[in-house]
Amino acid sequence: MHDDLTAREGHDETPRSRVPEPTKAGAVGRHRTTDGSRMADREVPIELTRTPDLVHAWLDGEIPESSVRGEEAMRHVEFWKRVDSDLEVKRQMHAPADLTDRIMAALPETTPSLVSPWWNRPIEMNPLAVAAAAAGLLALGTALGASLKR
Amino acid sequence: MTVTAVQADQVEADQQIIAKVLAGHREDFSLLIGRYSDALYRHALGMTGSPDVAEDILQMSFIKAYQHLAEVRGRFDAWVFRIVANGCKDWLKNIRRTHLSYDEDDQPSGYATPEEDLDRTELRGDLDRALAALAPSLREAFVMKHVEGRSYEEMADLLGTTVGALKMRVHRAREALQVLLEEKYA
Repeated sequence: MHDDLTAREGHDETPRSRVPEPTKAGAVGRHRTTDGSRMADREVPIELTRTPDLVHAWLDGEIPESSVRGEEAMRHVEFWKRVDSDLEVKRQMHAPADLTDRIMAALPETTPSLVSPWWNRPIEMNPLAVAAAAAGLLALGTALGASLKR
Repeated sequence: MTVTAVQADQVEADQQIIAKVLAGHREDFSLLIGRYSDALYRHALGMTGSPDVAEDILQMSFIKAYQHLAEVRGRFDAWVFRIVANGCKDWLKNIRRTHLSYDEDDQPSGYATPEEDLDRTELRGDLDRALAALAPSLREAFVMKHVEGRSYEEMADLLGTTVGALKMRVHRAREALQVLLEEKYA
């Protein structure tokens, strides 16, 4: 009946039991049964944590709040309205004003350029170097030919 | 990839800035930083929970983006987002490896300003701790949806996954957060 969301890194997308284990972050609240009595953290019944599909649809902006009906669904709506008021603070966050200046100061002085692999780079040689290379190869060939004739 | 007219204009404007930077106008890179730093900062902050770490990740990411600017093909914002997102994931991996505790050094105490009352500061601290308790992929999906306000299609585009998979992650993140925060927000 329990699911450790943190251990699986969320890579498994198949629907499973939806109750996470308490983690070391320690923000786990205590849970109540339908009659209000306290339960141990590890005994959370699935029906208490399963968010109704309509609530997900409302949170995803697919339906208006007025389409969400039922006492249980409205409890979820109220919960998410409270969370949303705190999320709004996060939405208003801005990068520090001097961050751009600090990044610009830390940039390398050189202009960025495309670094292509050596086999894809154009070969540049001046005519003098070409002539010298040709003369060298000719001399090497002559020497090799002479040694083979002996 | 669906590109609206506004996005197309933005992509073109970014490309013009990139061309100028590559032509030697280094200072124009600040325009790109200014244009995207707020959204990227919110992502890094949501993922790491630490303003200092978020700033460091942004700084390293923009330096990396500058060094590889000539390799940008298509949208600069999507490209730099991926650099930042990977930076956040790398940081989270390192944190796990070094066994640092989320509820001590790496968690901000909340983003309270003097005019906010103590009660709400405490609630935000709980929200931050609950977010930190989520698996990185769930946290990433939740932050992109509920803090950055992105559509599922945009998220799928940026993360290279499907809308269905992201919906599942966001839904699971919500339900996990609700378990973690139920009593505080009740």
